[in-house]
Amino acid sequence: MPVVEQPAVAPPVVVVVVAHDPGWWFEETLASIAAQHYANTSVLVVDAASSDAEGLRVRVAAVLPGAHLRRLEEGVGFGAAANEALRSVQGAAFLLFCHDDVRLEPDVIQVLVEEAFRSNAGIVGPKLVDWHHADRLLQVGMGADRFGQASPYVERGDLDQSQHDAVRDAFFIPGAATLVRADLFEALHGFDPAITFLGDDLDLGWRAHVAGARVVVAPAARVAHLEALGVRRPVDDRRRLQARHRLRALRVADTLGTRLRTVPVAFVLALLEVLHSVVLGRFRHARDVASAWSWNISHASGTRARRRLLAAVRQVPDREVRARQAQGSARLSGYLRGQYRGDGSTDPRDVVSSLRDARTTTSVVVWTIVAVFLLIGSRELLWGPVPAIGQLAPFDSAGDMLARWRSGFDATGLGASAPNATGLGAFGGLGVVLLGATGVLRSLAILAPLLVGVLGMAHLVRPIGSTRSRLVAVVTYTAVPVATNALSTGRWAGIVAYGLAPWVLSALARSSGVAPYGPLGGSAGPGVRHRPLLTRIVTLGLITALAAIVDPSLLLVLPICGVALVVGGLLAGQAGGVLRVLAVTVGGTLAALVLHLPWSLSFADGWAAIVVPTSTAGQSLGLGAVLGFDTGPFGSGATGWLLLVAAALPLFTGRRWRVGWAVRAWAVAATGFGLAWLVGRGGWSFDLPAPELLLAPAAAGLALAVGLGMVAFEVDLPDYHFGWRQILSLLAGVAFVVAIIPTWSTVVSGRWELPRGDFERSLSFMRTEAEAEPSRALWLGDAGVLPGVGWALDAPGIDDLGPDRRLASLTSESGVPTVAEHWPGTADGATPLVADAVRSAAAGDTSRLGAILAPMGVRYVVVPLGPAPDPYAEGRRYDPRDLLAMLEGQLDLDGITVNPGVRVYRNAAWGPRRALLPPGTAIGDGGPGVTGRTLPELVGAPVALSDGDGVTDHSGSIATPSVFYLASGGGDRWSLSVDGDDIPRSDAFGWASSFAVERGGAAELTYSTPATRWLTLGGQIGLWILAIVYLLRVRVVEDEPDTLAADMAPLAPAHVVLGDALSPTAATHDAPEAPAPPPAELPTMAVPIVVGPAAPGADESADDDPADDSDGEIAPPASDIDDQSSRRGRRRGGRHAR
Amino acid sequence: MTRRPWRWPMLLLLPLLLLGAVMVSRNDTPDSIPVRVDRLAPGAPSADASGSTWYCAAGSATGVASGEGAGRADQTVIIVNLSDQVVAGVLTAVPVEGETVRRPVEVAPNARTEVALADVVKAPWASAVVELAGGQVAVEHAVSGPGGRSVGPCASHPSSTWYFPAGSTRAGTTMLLALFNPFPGEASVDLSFETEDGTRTPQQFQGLVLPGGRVTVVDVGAVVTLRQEIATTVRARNGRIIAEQVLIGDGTDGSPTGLTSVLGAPAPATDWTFPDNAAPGPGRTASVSVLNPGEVEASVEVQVFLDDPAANGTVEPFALTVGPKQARTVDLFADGRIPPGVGSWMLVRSTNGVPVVAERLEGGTTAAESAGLAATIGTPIVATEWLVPVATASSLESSRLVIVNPSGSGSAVVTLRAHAGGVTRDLPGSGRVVVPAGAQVVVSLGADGSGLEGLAVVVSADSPVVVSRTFVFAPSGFASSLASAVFGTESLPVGLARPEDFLVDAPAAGPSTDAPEDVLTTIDPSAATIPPASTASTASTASTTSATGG
Repeated sequence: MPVVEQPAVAPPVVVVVVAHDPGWWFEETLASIAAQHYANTSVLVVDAASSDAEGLRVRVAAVLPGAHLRRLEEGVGFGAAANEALRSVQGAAFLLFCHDDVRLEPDVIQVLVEEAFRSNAGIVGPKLVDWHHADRLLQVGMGADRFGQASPYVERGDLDQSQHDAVRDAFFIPGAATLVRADLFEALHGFDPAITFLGDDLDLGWRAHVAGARVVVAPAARVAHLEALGVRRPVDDRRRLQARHRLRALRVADTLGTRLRTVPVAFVLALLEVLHSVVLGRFRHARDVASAWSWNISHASGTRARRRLLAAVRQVPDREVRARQAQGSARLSGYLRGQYRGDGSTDPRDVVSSLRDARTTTSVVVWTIVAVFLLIGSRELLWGPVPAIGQLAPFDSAGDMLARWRSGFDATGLGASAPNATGLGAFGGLGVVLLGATGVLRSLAILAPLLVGVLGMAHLVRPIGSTRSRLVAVVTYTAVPVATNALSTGRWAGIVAYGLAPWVLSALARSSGVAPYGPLGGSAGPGVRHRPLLTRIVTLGLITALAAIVDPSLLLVLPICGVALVVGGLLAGQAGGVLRVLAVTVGGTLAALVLHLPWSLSFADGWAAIVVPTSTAGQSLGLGAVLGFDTGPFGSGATGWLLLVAAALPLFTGRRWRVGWAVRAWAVAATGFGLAWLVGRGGWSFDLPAPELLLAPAAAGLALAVGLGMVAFEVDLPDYHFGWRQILSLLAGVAFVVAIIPTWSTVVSGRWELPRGDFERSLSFMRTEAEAEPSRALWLGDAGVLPGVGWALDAPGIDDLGPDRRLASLTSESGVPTVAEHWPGTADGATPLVADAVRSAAAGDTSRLGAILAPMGVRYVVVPLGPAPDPYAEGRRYDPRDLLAMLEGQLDLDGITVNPGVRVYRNAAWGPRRALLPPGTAIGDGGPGVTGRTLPELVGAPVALSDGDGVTDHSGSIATPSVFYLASGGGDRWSLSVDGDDIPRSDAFGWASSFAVERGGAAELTYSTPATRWLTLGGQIGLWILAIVYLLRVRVVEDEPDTLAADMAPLAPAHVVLGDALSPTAATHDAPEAPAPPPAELPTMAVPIVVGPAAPGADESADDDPADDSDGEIAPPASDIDDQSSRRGRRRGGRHAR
Repeated sequence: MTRRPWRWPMLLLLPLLLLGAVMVSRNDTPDSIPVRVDRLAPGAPSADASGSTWYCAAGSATGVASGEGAGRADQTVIIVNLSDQVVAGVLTAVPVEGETVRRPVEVAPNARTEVALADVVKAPWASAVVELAGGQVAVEHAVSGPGGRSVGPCASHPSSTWYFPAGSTRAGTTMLLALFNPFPGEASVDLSFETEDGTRTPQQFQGLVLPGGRVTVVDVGAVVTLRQEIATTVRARNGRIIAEQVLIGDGTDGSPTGLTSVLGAPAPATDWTFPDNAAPGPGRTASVSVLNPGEVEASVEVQVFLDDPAANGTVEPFALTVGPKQARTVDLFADGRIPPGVGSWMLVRSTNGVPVVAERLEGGTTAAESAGLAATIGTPIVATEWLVPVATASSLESSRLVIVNPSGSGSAVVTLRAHAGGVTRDLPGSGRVVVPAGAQVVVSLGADGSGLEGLAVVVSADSPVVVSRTFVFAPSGFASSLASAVFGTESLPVGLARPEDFLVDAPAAGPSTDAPEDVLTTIDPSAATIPPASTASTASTASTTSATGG
């Protein structure tokens, strides 16, 4: 060991080693400290509650007999343990804090101390290199942005060629080995004890900057770091700890003014990250990001205390600290860069070099084209409001939606006591989260499924393992006009089905366990993880339930896909996994139903409660239209059929699992096509779902088949001699290209042909009037053009609106229906009386429809002649002549001129929904006669109780004795009090309420929400939380063993050599914790193990993509390799000789 | 370990599925919105209906029969209840000006009620809306004035279009249009007239505003003067109305004398049936006017079916070509192809499928045995049940009921039941009547009016028929109109009779036909072997007779 003479005045340095159950490497760590040339060195080993305290003592004594040992009885984390130096060390000039898995070069302390003096630095750090490969860099100081996100100065794994050896300022020093001036450390009150692991170094460096200290890195000092933290921690919570500690550091170090600017931005970024993670199914990631905020809120008092301590030494304004931080968001930019590579690389050079790779370039170009396609096609909808066409009803305020949801009063139709749709609660809650921006929420809810569907398709095809295959499938799914047709016609369920179908198929495929979605018949492809059956069920239930929030008919997507996959499996002759798919299908459907309790109880009313009436608005759904997905303005006709040609390729050329899944994909496609075709044929005695809901699985199946065709082209085709398969492949390729070309024409409008205006513009007067005088509007017409969701109306004489149209009715409380009326309630109760009245008029039994509708509060009868008023949808109008003739034949309906695209009839016999009638007014019992169903006194009756929330509470004054009439269902849950006295309620017409008020006064009308409603709502929320927590927990528990096992393996080197301090040495003390692989199978370490702070996205990559395919190479299951070799063997034998 | 996947099942199944779908799709016929048959002609609600509304448009309500201040066509509303329940309702009298008056009405079972509108309101013109809470009722109105009398059904539905193919403003003839808007909102209508000189669209009749709850009477002759033939189209730009035409002839220049009111046709159709044609005779006139409101030229045949073709022969159809937006009129008696004294019924058919509207105008000059004027718009529908109220005017001289089986094959067995005075009784001398294909049966309801008070007849058949009635008043005048088909039993006619179906060898003696020789020689011989019954045949008695003319 070389000896360097040291000056006698060398300032004392105390090396503080925090050790916790160190492994085989510990002796090397201690030995490297013992070998330091620096003369004035003491060693303090802090035993952070190691399980074998005596063993640790012996190990330390064996190498560093002069070292001091302090034992902590609790594992308080690195920072708090290191703070032991504040109590145990006196008189030191510098403290060198070390992990127990570092190996110092002999001159490290000397170099660091010299640099501390030379640079007048408070904190000095070394260059960190890989333990096993000392020529590979880990970190050379670290930067950070204003949100605390670390931003490395060097790329992990870079070859150390002294290119980073200049002394430089850093924002903080990675905590493996950090030299800190002792007085500074004391002034800063050491590490933040609340920061247990990960982030203590950032916090210390940040606060040092605030205190005016300089933080530099001296690359001449080299320290090897094993990064073995993960080995010794039972849970993999690195991302969670990093997220919370970043936020903590920010909140401690920044002043109030800076925090007011930074924290909201950080919150928005976190929210986006959560949403992004949820969309991608990375629930654990979302949880970690979200929990950072809750943790910091719960630790707010400690944060304030630390802030006060820091205030005493604050020397530097925030702007100067800010100058040392990275610009923008390191996390966001890192994420964006990381998207180019699956390994989380953030080095721009890697990005550039990866772009040079042809496959990566193709991937980037295709994804860019897809993104541009969606953005350009949606541009007007992204920057402007989405018109309320069809089922795309405008949203109410968040508070109003929540109030309706919890009330237990279903205001649709004529109102009834019934559970409200989950959607009201979900959208209301999200509206609150978005600070009331329900318009943004609505746009997201309508447009996001387009992107979600494309991502879902990528997820579905990912296990296939071919980049080209994934791209082709994604492009196919983007090109089919299922979602765009649904959007242009306002069929929200169809849009959501597009987003849902690939995810459902993906989950079902993974449930089957059939290769490449599992080990059956091969091995699992990239991104496939083993999950328990229950997890699959809950996952599918949650996904389906999420979609069914929009429309309960979306519950059908899962059984349709499940049954089709089962049939496809049987057709392929592979029964393996069929039972699992069936079980998951049934279980997932039931789980979705359970998650929608108590709303889903109403589904027991029958099919009509699940599938609302819809139509294609006159668009014929013949076989050709169905096969070309031509359900709306978009449809490429014959060229659309060419996709079928492309999708047929794997059936002819595929082998092994490729043909098996091609058969399944075609089974799904054929099922969807067949059901949609049956819908188009009509003549059913019951309503069928929107065609896009059935065509979405077909599109997903078709896109999967096209993707399989691509992988068959890559893998299987080369094994065939030239022949018809090659020609077929060429034709399929041409067909694919020709089929997708017309798709670009769909982006021209920038709004997917959605009309530019809606009825709200033409009928705003109805809303204004309804606000002053509560009333209803009755909407009649084709279900495909009504601005809302209603009930099918069978009324002979008027219900034949022509081919591919369906008469439906709905009511609205104030003009154009809002989302509050999006989920038609139960068909029981009073609501069917509306249809009865219309039927009566259609049959000619009455020409006083207005009088019959008046007690129902109907002031207007509206018949849209198209999905939007003129001039927005002139080309899409129809003529419901019999319906109009019926309405125009009513003696008390006054047609008013509003817009050529809509007929509006004012009810001359109208009365307000809350009306005051003369005392003694006799109200009929709703009997069959006209007199029993009409109330002439309503005409001109004054409005009563105009104040209140407009839903369940109304108040005002009643001046004189009168009869108060309430045109709402709900029965005796309505109560009226006048001056505190309860007024007895009477049934009116068998469904409404009347109250005989004998004395005027302040009156209050209240709907009493049943206690069971609160219980059920609580139960429903609990179920959702339970399901989400269960899934997150399963992901954590299931994934961590894998992650930790991955961490463990490379930490057990087979060849370790003593002598050269920075060379791998043999494990002479402890046996490796994992069996050493034979030399030939040693890991190459080309990809560094991520244990400590990692680059953004690196952990996601490790989490989700154990066999990432970003290099563009096909990763066929192992069986394929066997298959190929055996196949070649057979071919050699002449079997496939052609 | 799973087995290796099969590809052939799916490769076989997919083409089979596709082929099956194609085969099924090829059998599909394009859907279309069916015609609302019950809107093509006025009709009566069925027994299970819980209500009905009727609109009686044309008429005055002066209460003065003659002299100064006399109404030109004082209106009486006739409500017939053929059910077993008391039917209550409301009659709303809507004057041309002044307040609307509502009056409750109640009609006993199997009985009738007549309300003279002048007893409700006093106005130069007044319309009525009758709302009844029950089925199996019929509402008609009788108008009478110095010019004569007329009886016809009220409208059971409003419409946005009304057609009147026949009309005239020649000297001595007054042509009025009553445009009734019973609804709260105003309507705006356009009137256009097809005359022998072309189309007239007078400016003052374009965008004519009809206030809600009002009747507006237009004197066409004041604007479209001195036109021999006028076909009128009333088209509402918005809203729906009821339009009724009133023609009054004073006999100037040998024109018929009398008064007739007729409800317009709400929609064109390809086939129009007219039972009970008048037979040619001295002073008798009969014409058929055909209006083509469409945009395509229509080829029309007016087919007259003589009673007892075996004895009377057949009549060569009148062939017409009616251009778009044009009207043509055929004088049925002009060329003598209809033999004098022989009863007949008539079909007006569009042979190229272009829908038209047909109206018959029959008259009797003072030279005739019975002067009068009767405009009848045929019916485009057939039905198996009809309600036939019978007029009760003291001046009623005789009345008859005519049942036509317009089918080309198959007899119709018809049951007649009379309702009067609160009871149901058999029609004297009639019970079950067999109406052969292509024939009409005439049932006399009495010649002296005795026993006819409050009479209404329900005609039920086992296959679709058309029913009309004709009233002869003393000392002169007659009225003819279709009965009210019962809704739910109506349909569009199919397999209508053709004159050639009844071609037989010309009778040795008797009326000759003008059928060309080539027609006679190219007929299907088999058709000649199935001559239909020539005249009415009854299952009960011989009191039912063949009738000719009015």
